[in-house]
Amino acid sequence: MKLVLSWLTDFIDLQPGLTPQQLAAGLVQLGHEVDEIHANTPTFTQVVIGKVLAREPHSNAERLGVCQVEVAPGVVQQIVCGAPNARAGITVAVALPGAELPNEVKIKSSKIRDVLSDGMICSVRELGLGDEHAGIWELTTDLPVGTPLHAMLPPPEVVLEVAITPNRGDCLSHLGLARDLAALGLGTLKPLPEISLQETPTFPLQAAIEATLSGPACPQLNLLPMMGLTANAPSPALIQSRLLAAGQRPKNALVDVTTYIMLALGQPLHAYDADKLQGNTLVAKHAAASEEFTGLTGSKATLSTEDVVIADQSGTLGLAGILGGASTAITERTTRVVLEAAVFDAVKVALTGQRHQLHTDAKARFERGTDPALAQYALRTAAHLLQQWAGGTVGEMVTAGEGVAAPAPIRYHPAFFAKYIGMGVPNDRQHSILTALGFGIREIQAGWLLTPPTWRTYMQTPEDVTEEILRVVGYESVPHQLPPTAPAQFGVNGKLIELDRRARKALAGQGFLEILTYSFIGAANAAQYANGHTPLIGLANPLAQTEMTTLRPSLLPGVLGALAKNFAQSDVGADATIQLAEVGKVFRPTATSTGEALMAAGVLAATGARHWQHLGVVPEAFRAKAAALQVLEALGAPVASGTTLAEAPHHYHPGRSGTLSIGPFALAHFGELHPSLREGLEIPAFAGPLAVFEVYLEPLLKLQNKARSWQNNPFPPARRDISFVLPNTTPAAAVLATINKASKGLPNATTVQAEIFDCYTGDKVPAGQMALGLAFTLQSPEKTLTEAEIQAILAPMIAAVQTAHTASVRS
Amino acid sequence: MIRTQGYTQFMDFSQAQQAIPQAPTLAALEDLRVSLLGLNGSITAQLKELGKLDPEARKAKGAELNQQKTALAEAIAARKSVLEAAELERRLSTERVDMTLPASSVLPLGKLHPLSVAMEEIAAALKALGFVHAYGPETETDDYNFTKLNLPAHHPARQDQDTFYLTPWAELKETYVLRTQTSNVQIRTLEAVAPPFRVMGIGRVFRRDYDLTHTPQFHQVEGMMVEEGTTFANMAAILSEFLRRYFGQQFKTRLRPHYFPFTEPGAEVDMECVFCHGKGCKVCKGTGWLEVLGCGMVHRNVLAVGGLNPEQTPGFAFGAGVERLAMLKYGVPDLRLFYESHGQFLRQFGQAPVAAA
Repeated sequence: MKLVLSWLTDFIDLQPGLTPQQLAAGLVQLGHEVDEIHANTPTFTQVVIGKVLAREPHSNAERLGVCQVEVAPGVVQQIVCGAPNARAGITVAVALPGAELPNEVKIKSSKIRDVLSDGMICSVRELGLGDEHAGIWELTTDLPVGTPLHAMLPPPEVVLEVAITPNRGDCLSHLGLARDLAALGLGTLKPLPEISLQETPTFPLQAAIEATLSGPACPQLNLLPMMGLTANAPSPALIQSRLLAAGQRPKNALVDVTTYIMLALGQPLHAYDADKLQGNTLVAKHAAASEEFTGLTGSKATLSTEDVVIADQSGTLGLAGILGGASTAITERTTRVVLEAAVFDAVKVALTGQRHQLHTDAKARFERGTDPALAQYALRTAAHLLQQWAGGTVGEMVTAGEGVAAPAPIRYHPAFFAKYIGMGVPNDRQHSILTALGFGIREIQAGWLLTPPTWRTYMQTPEDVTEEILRVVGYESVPHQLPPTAPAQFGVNGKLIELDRRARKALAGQGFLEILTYSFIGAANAAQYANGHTPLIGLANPLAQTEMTTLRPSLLPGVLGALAKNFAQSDVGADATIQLAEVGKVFRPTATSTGEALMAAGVLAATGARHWQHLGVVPEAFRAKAAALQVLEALGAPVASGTTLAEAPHHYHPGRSGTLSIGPFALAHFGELHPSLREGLEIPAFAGPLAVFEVYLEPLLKLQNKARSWQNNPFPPARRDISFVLPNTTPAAAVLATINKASKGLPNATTVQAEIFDCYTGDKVPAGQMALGLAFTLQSPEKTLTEAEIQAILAPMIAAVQTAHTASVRS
Repeated sequence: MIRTQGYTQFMDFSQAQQAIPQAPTLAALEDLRVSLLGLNGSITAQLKELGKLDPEARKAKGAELNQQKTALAEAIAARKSVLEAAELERRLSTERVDMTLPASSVLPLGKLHPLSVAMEEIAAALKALGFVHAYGPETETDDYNFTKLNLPAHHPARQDQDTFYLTPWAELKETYVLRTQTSNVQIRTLEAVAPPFRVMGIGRVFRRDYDLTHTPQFHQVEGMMVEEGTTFANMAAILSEFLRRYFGQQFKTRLRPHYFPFTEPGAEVDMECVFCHGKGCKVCKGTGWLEVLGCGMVHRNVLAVGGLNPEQTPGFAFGAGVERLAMLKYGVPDLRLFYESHGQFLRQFGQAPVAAA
C-alpha cells in the first residue's frame, strides 16, 4: 500500500511538525511495516503548459505528427510528436529548447526527418512523474498557457510504502491508516464529509440477488446510475497526481474515480458502461457450469457454479468482487454508467480468485473483508466526485440485500490484559484506546462487552483485544520476564531428530563432507533410483518442468550430482579421496503414505590428487561397506548380529554390492554404482568405479545394542588359524554362519569367534577354489583352555564347514 | 665386534676398574662383565675359592671380594648407561626424515554442513532454556500444514507461502503438501502431549520461490511453550535469551506487531544489526535492525487442537529461518551457497564434528 501523505491529511489532522520518519515509526509501532519513504520531487526545468492548436501528419514519417503548439500567450512553436493522442485542443506539458528532463535528457531545437521541431511534448514518464508512457500527458484544459509546469503541479507527494498484513484489509486505504494513526495519538481524525447528491431521474435500474445464492455470498448489492457525463474527461490534476503517487495510471475520470475511492476509503467499486447493458436489472448469482468469462484485462476463465457473478439479461458481466468483464467495460466514448459498490463474502471471493489465479486490488480487499457499513457512502462519494469531474446527472441508488449483521460482541475483562501479556495497563487507558480504535464498550458484570468496529475483520476474541491495546501502548514497553525453570521432562517424539543429528556427525567423523541437496529431482533421474517404488510422487506445481519435479526416492542422485559438480569445478580438494554424504528424507510412496524415511548416503571417489608417498588408492566397494557399517556402529546398531547378502537395488553393480540386514530390517546397501549409471555421470575415469552406500536410519529406533553388564575374563584367550580350501563361489558370510551355528551350546559358557583374515585365489589352490583363512579365538570364563580342549571345541566346527561347503583344511 | 676372550683372565681388580670406563662398545663391556662377574668370571672364581680358606681369612677375603664385586657391577652399569646413551644418539642421528614434506592423508577431514552446525547450536541454545526436540514430517497434509494452524483454505495469508502441492499417487482423499513451515510440530505436540511443555522443531521446509534471496527449500526452527501463567513478557525474555545464547553475545532486541494466523497477539523480533551494532550498514539497509524471528501468543484456534484455551493454559510460539541465523553468525554472504555442494565452501564454513555443539 502506497500511503500518499497529502491524501492522508484528507482524513486526519496530523500533529504539526510531524516528519515522515516519525509517521513511519508510528506505523511500525501499530504493526504496519514501512519499507520505504520517498518523495516524487520533479527533476525537470523549462517545462511549460502548452496548447496544441493543430496537428498535421508528417510528410516524411507515417507515425509522426507536426503540431503547432501555443507555448506562451500568442507564441506558437512547431513540435514534431509521435504520440497517438497528440491532437488539436488538448493541453499539454511542453519541454522548451534548453529544457532538462530526468535522466539527463536535454531538449534542443532540431530537425526530425527534415521538419523543424522546437521542443518536446512530454509524457508522464518523461517528466519523471510516473510510469505512464502510452501517450503524451493530457492536462486539464483550464490551465493557463505559458505557465511553468512546476507552478501548476501540486507540491511534491511524500509516499510511504507500507506493508499491510492480511488481517488488516481496512488499512489498504488512506482512511484506514488515518484511523490507526489517530488512535495512536499522532493526529485527530476528521469526520467523513456529508455527501448530498442531487438525484434526478436518469434511466431505469434494478439491483437483485438471486435467491439460490447460498449463505452470505453477496449480502448487499448497491447500484447507482449516472448519465450525461463528458466522454473521456481527464481527472483533475490533484487527483492524477495522487493516483500517480499511489502507483496508479490515471486514465479518465470514470475509471479513475473507482480507483480513487478504493484507495481513499477501501471500498472497491466497479463502473459498467450503461449503453452496453441488456435490460434494467443487474443480479448477483452463481455462474453457470463451465461458463466462459473474459475479464476487462483480457484474461479468460472457465467458471464453475461455485463462482459468484454479476449478470444482466445477456449473461455474466463480471466476476463478483474480483474483475469486471470486457463486454461492459468503460471506453473513451462512455457517457452513461452504472456504478456498483457491493458487499461480498470474503471466503467466496478468495476461493474464486484462487481457482482462476486472478489477483486484483478489488479481490485483495474483499478477501480480507471490507467495511459493509461504508459501501453506500463510498458509492455516493464516487458519484459526487464524478459529477464534479465529468458533469452529468446522478440517478437514484438502488439496493438489494440486507447487508451484514453487526459483528458478535466480545466479552473482555480488562484484568485479562495483565494476565496474558504480563504487563499492567490501567483500565481507563485500555478504555480510551479501544474507544479511539472504534470499539463500542458496554460495562457488564464480568468486565466489558465490546462491539468491534464494522471495518475490523478478524476481531473476535479477548486475545485480539489485547493486541489492539498492546500495539497502541507499544510492544517495546513490555518488560522481559524469564519464566521459572522448565517443566519436568515430558515425552515428545524427538528420537528421529537425534538419529539424524548423530548420523551427520558420524559421517563427518569418518571424513565425509556433508552436503544438503534438494528434496526434489528430475523425474528421469529419480526413476533410475526408484528400486521398484513406482510411481514416485511428483510435485503438482514444480518450479520447472524437467528439474525439481519429483520427490527423491534415494539420496544418491543428489550426492552423485554434487560429486560431478565438484569435479566439473575442480573443487575435489587436495586429498586422494573425496567423500560426500547427505543425511535426509527420501520418499518411497506406499498406498497409504508418502513413504517418507530418513536415510544417509555417501560416495567415495578418487580425486586424482598425487602424493609424494604414492598413497592414492581408488576407493572400491569395500570402502563403501566400511563406511556404511561404521555409521551404523556409531549409531548403536548391533552390526555384528547382521547378515550380509550379495544383493542390492538395481542402481548398484549386480556383482559388486551387498545389503546388510538384521531380522526383517534392511540397514544398508553398499557397493559400486551400476556401470551404466556411472557412465551417465560426467565424472572422470580416474575417479574410479564410485563406491556408494545408503543407510536406513529409522530401523535404528528399534535396533539398538543391548546394555550389558561389564565382565572381565581373567583367563587368556586361545587363538588358532585354520585355512579352508573350498569353491570360490562360497560366500564368506555363509562359512561364518556355519561356524556360528556349530558354536552354539558350548559347555561352560566358552566362546568362539571366527574372523576372516585371508581370502586367496590363485595358482596355489586348484582352479575354481579359494583358500579362506580364519582366525579362531576361544575363551572360557572358568579356566585356561588346554590344547586338548581347544581341539575338541574346534573339531566339530571344522567338520561342519567341511560338510556344508565341501571344504578341506589346508595344511 | 670381536670378542677378546682370554685377556681378562689376567685382569686384577684395579686393572678392571680402569678397563670398564674405557670399554669402547656395549659388546666389549659385556665381555668384560662376563670375564669378571659371569659364571666363570675371575671374581666369581675367587669367590668360589673362598671355601678353601680358614674361617678367619675367609671372612676377610669374602668381605673384600664382595666389595670389589659391587664396585665393579656399579662401574659396569654406569658405563653401560653412557654407552647406551651414545648408541641411541648415534641411531637417532641416522633416522631423519624431512618433516617439511606434506602429511600422509589417509582419511580426509570430514565437515558438518554449516546449516547442520547452526541447527546444533540453535538446539543447544533452546535446550538450555528447557526446550525439547520434537519431530514433524516434511510431507504433510494440508490439514496439518495449514488448517489446524488457523489457516483455512480461503485465508489470504496462504498466498504468502507459495506451497508445493503433491500430485495424488494413490487413492488418498487428503491433499498433501511439502511443509511450508515447521509449525506442524506444534500441532503434533499439542495433539500428543499435555502441558506444561516446551518443544522445539528444527528442519527442512519448502516454498515455491527461487531467486537471489530465496531457495525452494530451507530450514526453520520452531519453538512453543504452553503452561499456565505464560505471558507475552515471558516470550520477550525467552527470545532475547535465545538470541544471546545462539550468537554468544548480547544484542538489543525489539518487538513489533505482526500478523500470523496462528498467533494473537503476533510479533516480529528485530535484533540490533550484528555487523554494525545498530549504526546502520548495507546488511541492515541502514536501519540498524535485522528481522530475525516471528512469534506470538498461540492462537485460541490452535490451542483448541489440544483441547486448551488461552484463558487457562496460554502459550507462545516462535519461528526463525535457520539459513538467516547461520548467515548472520558465520558471515555467509549468499543463501544459495548452502545448497550448491561447493566443496571449497563446505570445507571453509563447515565444522569438524568435534567442534560442533
